Amino acid sequence: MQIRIGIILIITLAITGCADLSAVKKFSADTITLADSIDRIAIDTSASCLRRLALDVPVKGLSQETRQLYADVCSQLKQSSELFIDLNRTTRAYGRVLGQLADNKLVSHNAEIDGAKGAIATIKNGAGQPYFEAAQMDAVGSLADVVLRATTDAYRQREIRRVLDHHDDLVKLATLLQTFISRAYLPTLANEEGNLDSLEEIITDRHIRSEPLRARELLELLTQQRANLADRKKAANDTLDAITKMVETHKQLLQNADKPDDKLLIQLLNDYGKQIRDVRKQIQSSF
Amino acid sequence: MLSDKKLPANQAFDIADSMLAAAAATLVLRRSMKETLSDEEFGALVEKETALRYDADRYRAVGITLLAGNGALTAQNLVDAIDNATSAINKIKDVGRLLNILSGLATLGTTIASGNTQALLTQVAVLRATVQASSSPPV
Repeated sequence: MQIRIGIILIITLAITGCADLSAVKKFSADTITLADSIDRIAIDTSASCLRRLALDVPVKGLSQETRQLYADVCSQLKQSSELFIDLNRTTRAYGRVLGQLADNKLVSHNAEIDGAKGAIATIKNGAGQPYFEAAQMDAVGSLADVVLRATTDAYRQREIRRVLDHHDDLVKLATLLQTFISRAYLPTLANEEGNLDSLEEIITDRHIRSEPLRARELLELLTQQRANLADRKKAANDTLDAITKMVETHKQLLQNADKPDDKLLIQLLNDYGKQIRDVRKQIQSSF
Repeated sequence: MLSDKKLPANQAFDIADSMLAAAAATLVLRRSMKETLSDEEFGALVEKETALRYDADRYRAVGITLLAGNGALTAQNLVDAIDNATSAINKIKDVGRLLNILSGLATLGTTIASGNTQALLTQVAVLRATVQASSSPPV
């Protein structure tokens, strides 16, 4: 009897085995990081406005009323960016749900089965001996795990496919994210950069003779701000590329979700992963 | 103006870009005429340029709001797909929860057979907690 159970187990294990969904997991992790990076960019949109205001006040000598008026404008940018951050939650949730479905832990019920086995082991016969032998329980427990895993494995693969089938919807979302960066964030940085040029001329034309020390201090600050801006622009452009790579990788993943050996998929995943690492590094150093 | 929902996001961004271009042009004008400008004229150009920069921000904010609004509609299919997948994940997790309940029931059965009242009460409490945990939404 035990030998028969063993043979059934070996055959079933050989047939079922956990699916290799490492490609989906990798895509998921990178997409979550991408969503986090986009949030940082969205937050910096209103921060850019406030950085400008912080320099406008001393250099241009804004009145209290004007200062408040412009602070309100920065606040409008903050509110609108928060709406965009809400939208970007979809990107993160999409990556997260794929990662959960691709996680092999989801289909392993070993802990629960061990609990059940422990409970059954306490059942004794009239002579006070265990009703079931340990070997029998182990065999039944292993078989239960294999059967459950095989059933849920097929189920989650089908669900992953269903999620990936929304490629066109992901493309639309990606377009929105790119529109935000190219039409809202980068022009806001351009505004800040243009203002630095303007401030520099005001300082050198009007302040340097009357307040040379303060003027030099401000000019140094402008130089530092310019360097930071260049880094932020690079981070934004890298993020734009990362979004493009996300879409390309997703398309290939849709066709080969259960084929982690597919060469093009491996290459695209590696490119996407490298781009995400660059973005993360750039964002960490720029913001 | 700011609440005009008929204004497409791209148009709001175009207006913001125009404001920014006008600010840049004002700076160029100030630069090219700086030798001849009086303090008042210089100040007026700085003021105008600054106002244009914040007007650009104002329209940029409108554009972002409209973009996010359109995005919420566009992303609805994805949101539905995520919800469906989350239900699927919960169904898979339910298998583990069911096993926990079965495990608790088996232990309860043994305790009833032993006739130990105190152990029985404890075990009932444990099983109730397991069932409650299994009925609550997964973390």
